[in-house]
Amino acid sequence: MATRHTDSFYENELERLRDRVLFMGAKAEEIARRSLAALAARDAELARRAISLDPEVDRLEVEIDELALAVLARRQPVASDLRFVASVLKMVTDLERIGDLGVNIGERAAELALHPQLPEQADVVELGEAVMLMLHEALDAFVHADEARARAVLEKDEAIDETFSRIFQNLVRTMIARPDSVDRATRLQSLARYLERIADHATNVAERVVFMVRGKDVRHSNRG
Amino acid sequence: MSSETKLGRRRVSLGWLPHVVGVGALFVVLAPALSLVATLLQRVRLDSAVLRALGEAVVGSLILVSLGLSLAVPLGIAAGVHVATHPRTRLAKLASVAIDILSGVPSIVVGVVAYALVVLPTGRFSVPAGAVALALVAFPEVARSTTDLVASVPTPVVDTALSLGVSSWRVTTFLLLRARGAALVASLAAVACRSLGEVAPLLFTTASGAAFDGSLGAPMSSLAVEAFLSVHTPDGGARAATLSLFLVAATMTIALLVRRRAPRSA
Amino acid sequence: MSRRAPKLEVKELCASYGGRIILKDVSFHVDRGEIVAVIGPTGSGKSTLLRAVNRMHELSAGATVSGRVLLDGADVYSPDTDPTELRRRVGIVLERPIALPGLSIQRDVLAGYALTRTLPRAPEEVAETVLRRVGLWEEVKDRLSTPSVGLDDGQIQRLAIARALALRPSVLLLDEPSQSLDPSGTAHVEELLNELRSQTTVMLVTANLQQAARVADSVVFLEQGHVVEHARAAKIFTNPEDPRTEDFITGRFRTTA
Repeated sequence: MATRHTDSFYENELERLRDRVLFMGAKAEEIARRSLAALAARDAELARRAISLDPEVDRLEVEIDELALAVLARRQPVASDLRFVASVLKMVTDLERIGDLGVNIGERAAELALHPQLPEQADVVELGEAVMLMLHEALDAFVHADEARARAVLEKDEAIDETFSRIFQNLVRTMIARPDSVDRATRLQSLARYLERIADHATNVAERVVFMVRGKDVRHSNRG
Repeated sequence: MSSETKLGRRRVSLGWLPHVVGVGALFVVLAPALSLVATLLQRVRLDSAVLRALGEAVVGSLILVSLGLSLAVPLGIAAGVHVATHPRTRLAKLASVAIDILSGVPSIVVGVVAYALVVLPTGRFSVPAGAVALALVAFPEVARSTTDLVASVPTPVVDTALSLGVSSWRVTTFLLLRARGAALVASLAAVACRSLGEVAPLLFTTASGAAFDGSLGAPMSSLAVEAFLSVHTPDGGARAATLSLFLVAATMTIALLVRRRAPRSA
Repeated sequence: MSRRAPKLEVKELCASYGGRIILKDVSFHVDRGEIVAVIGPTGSGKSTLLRAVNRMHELSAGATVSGRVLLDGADVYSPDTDPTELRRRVGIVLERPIALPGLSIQRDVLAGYALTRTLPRAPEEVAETVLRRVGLWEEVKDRLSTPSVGLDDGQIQRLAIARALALRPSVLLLDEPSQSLDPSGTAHVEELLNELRSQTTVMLVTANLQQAARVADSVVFLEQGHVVEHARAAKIFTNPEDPRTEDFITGRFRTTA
């Protein structure tokens, strides 16, 4: 839409909502990033600091829910505005889960830091970078209401699933070959799973963006 | 004690004006009565001839005005309604011009016209001639009032009535009778009062004559005419005053009767 | 022609007034028994559209109409149709309704009969029924013989709706029916419209978009005499096709120079 709402207060309310969602997304992304950095650097302290960001994400979820409800009640939004607010309400759930998953990654990273590194860890870190990219793109797509970017994110999900599958299988083989690696291997498997789930949530966000922009519900239609 | 009224948006004090006007009106009404009393005191002889003449004048007026109005009112209302509801038709435009011209014509000219139309062909003064003359005077007034009344109904009212699937003429009838009924009656009453006072048209058409002998083909006296003619009689002043008294009584009665009905739309 | 809710079709309807074009090639349809809301900015021709359906527009001097309006396939503008009879089948509640002067409430509600010197079988019952339907009965039941001009705006508004309903029209046209009503009155009117479904085809002009969203099955967006979009209500309010519709309903108005 080229034009703004004639009621500038309304326009501002929607702006604020968008702002807060972006902020929350950035925070959740940061938790995951820092936890992955902690994994790569084998730094437990870094991991703990990443985890400490989570309460803020939870608080933001509540704040955004309240803001969105207020807009619904007072403005009775329709058409694109309605799709926007409805999308926001769904997205904050995904973002909050991403925050939690980031915390989980941090916890596993802190544990793994105490032991020698398994070779598969590098793969996991690489997976992590791909997932972070996906998440970043999804959030960007939301901020700019960019359908093309959102669809690009949807494309990547399959590759991530395959990579996760591969890493998971490798770790199973490693566990069979070297029983002393079971502890570390299972932790890496969990970590990889968390990343795969972050990717799923990022996909959800992208799907909401497509709905928001186009009014077309693409959920459940692009999963293999 | 003064009184106030609203002039536009401001309250304007009228001071003593209403009271002055009221007293003045009363005087106008009472003057003939007082002169009658004076006459009676001067000449005790109110003989049967005088009374008979008086009676004839009253009856004559009633007959002439009733006949005249029975011609003018239906035609006038019909013309007025037509001009108001279908202003673009040829008939409406013609009628409108005719009404305007007629209403500007002096009543004496109307009398002459009626003379030419009825008296000359029939060869005598008669009641129908007088009725025609009065009708010619009353018709434009009735038509004009009707047009104004019909046009004064606000569009939403007309629209609402039409929207109920009511035919156009029924709507007009309803609006005229219900929405403007009181005003219509009032304007008709005014026309009636004016007609009672007409002299000139009747001079040429009914002149003066005996009403109790009853033929419509003969001249008939009426209050206003008799008052006019009594100028040349010996006790002219008193006679005129008496006749005027009856005229005033008649018009006041009409006015009061109409007034009773008026507050319907308050 | 059946008296039950007909299918209403407007085809290439054009209307002008005093030389100015008000409606241009307006076409849309309403399925039988459904409610269509006509929305749009002031001056877009919504009221004229309504009045063109029951052939009242042509009564104004200097007004012209062309095109067709079909009720169950029969064109109301065909020479065989009697406009007066049409208006008994197609009821209308005008914007800014009034009480008819010189009538009691009872007679005003039944004015459609009183003015034509006909009467329904049980006039008091008919009056009570329609007054109940518009939620006015309780307020006026004790003063049915008092003049209707004594009612307040909100009551007159409901009275006007009752008056139209008393003739049991198969099509009902409403122009801003909740304008003078408080939320309770509005709710009653909307409840009434819901009740009329299937018996009556309804066309509703409203500036209240929420009302259109609540009540309408489909919505026509009119702008400067053109139909910009016609769609089911749910679709138009969640995902309209035309950006002009989107702008209008979300409150993005261009200031006209």
